Amino acid sequence: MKLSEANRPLRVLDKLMQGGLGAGNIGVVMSRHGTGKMAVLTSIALDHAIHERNVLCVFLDRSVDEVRAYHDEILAEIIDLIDVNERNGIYARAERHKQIYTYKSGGFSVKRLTDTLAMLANHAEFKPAMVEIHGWPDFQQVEVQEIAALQRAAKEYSTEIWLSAHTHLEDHKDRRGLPDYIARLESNFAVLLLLEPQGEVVNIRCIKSHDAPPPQGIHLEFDPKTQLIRWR
Amino acid sequence: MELTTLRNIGISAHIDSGKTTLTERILFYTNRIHAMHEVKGKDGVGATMDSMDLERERGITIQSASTHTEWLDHQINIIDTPGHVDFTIEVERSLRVLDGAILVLCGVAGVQSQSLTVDRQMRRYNVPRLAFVNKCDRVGANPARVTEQLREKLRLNAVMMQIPIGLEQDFRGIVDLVSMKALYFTGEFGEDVSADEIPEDLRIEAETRREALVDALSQHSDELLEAALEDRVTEELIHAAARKAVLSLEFCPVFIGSAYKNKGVQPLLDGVVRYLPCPIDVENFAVDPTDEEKKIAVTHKPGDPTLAYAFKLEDGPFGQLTYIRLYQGKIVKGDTLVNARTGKRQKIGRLVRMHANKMEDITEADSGDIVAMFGIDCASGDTFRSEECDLTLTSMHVPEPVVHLAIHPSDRKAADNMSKALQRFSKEDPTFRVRLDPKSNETIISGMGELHLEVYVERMKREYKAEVTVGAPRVAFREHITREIEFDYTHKKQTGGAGQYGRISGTLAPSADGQFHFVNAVTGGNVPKEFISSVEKGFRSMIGEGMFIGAPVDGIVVTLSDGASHAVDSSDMAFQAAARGAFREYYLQGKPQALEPVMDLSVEGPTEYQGPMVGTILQRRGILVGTTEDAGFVRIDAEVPLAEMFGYATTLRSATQGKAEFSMEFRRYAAAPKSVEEQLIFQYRERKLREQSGK
Repeated sequence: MKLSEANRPLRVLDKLMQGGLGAGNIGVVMSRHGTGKMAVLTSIALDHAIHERNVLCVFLDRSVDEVRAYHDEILAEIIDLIDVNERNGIYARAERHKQIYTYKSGGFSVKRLTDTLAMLANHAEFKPAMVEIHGWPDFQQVEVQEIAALQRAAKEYSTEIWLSAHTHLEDHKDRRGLPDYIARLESNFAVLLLLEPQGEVVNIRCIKSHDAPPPQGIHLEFDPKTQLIRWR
Repeated sequence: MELTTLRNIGISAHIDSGKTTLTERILFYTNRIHAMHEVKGKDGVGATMDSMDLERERGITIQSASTHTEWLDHQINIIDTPGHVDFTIEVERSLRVLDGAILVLCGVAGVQSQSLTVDRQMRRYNVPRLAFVNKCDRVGANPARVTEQLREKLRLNAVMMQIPIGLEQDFRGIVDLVSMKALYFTGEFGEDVSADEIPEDLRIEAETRREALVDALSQHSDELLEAALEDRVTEELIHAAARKAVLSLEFCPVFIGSAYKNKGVQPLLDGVVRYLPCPIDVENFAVDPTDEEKKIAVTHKPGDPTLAYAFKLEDGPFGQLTYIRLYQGKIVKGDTLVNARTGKRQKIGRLVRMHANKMEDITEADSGDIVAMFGIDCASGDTFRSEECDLTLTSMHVPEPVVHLAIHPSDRKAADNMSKALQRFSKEDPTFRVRLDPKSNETIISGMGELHLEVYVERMKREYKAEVTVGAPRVAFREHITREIEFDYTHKKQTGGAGQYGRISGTLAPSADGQFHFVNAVTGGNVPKEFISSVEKGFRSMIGEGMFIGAPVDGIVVTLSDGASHAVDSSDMAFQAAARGAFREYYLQGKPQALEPVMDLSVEGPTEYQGPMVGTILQRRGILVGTTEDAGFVRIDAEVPLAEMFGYATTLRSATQGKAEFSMEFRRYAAAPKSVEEQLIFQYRERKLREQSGK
């Protein structure tokens, strides 16, 4: 198949988000432990990188080697899907347009992020279209001001920022399935995606899609076997 | 000799972490040498293990030398391993023959980029290891932080076995967390170890750390777990659990000290004897040359046929010295052994045990041991075996060289000496290659990096008195096709005598693994079975030089699906010619691309220099891959074309006032930029034209 075909599920995801998250906005992917937050965000990030839009991948308490090996794995899955004649250069494009930053927990803050964004812009002319952050913040503890500062950073550096949130079975949720501690910050988030395991796959449900009601009738899922997003 | 009391260990580390000093101290305490020298000693003698002038001058160890010594009724063979990545083959060779290793780390700098490379190699060979945090007497030393780094950066289950008593200039001794005693090192050279009560102010820390140690080890020993629950932990239980966990590569005990100040070395030696494996604790394999897939575990029994591996050659004043590791059987002076590669029988005239530059003659050596033989003609990596045995020891992972350098001898005499030196070096080091370029009539040496080749050029001058001038280093380019193409080619010749006929069709496609693959998909016998291998041979003969930039072809899958033959005119030659013809005619339709070697580069330095560090990488067409920030330090991982990396050390130094350092390792071949590619195409055409007009 062609690359554009292999990427179709991500275009469907864009549709779910009224055309994508968009620069200056914050999106959150949430789910219980081990249900594919990292895989979904990685798919979005690699899709940007393959299409020559820069992405910054921020991880806490992981090593660069680990993240890189994981990216390579997902790239190999994508490359496997597409025609031999379309494969050339995908890997190189992805490498060129993504950057991995790892921090120790406690060593990361919005200030560190803006310092990094400034350094990359000044010294590397690297201006990310997307920033994904894994392992920060702790949604139960984080101050509203910190998230507001993150949103200012997204606007200042004209980038979209994705966060991943860990939810728990015992959380108190509203009727959309949104835990209280995320709901209290909701006004700062443009998009909220919820991953719900269902049998062998994980459904991707859009709880908030900018200011419009989430489109109905679109079914997206994540396949834990291939670590890729599928559209049905 | 009892195999259980034998230890073959390596000492691996970053330059400047004090490895040579540590080795020197180990040899001193085990009573083999009677005076101690520092690496950059004022007495100009240099430490005992570094035997070459060049190493003395640069303060680094380039060649590994093996040394035999004894501690607590145990025999220990120490392989000193080089610290620079450009000499990786040396490290890898040593790792192959080692059963365990000490990873030396600087107590101030901790885990540096080089430690990462060395650790990666140790993982590849499953080498159990102990860590020694050295230089605890230096300002800024912090063994607890280094232990943390071992856990985080190297993902080792590192746990401190000792804690320091005082640090930096107050570093006085250590607390052994197993015996719960304070150890002090007295006497002129710290040769007397005295045990005492733990100082009051360290008692709580020692108890917490010991608990952490027992906790960590309990996960590997049910006995210890039970004992811990019932509060009856003994030293023996801890030792046994630690040994088991180290052998299974699940635990890395951390020892501390200062080799320079003569502190902590003896407990480290106790650790080597206690926790590192003996030869039978490690599984080693031989292969059956008729079926390389088959792995046969070596037995280490002295009564079985002999199997020995030559891992290191040295050219000494009395001829060639060959270091070998025995894996099975024994070697007795006067025995005849067969070199598995050449089939040549050789008599072992003299067998010695080496202590750096001194040697003792021995009459026999048992399985598991490391000894040296005199006057044996072989290459490093060869297997020696008794005549009744037909196994060979697995060949090692040998990377392809990525840098070329043209060299010219300055005069006639230098030319003779140079050829002697080159012959020697290429025997010693499989990653060092020599060839004569028939087109330019230049001698080209190839290796793993700029420094790798530089060192050999230096050695030529010093050891062989061969003055040579060198060209600019060049990288080894390759080329490959980027799309799948179908071919259909007929080779037909009718010029009197027997004709030639062969027709083949199929596809040429890029392969992902950089290898040549031949797939036989012929059904119905249109290409007779006996000619299938001729077709493969024909294609294979073409990949040495592609037709795009004249470089070796990297990765191609040839699928032969159909063809035709003639009852009389088809032959091996005709089908080989058909394959060559098909390759010539169709190759360029596959949209070839020039490839260049790309290196994994790690640059490490203080966070405030992050900008300049990034700058040096981007100036060199580098791609930033990832950045790790931790406590004021930052490590930047990048992929950089090797072609841009010549002279990088100087650039980095001046950009960061010497605060940053780097290490580099070959990663993969990647598409060269158009500008480079165009130049390569141009050079290739020029060369072709010259050759044609030459004819």
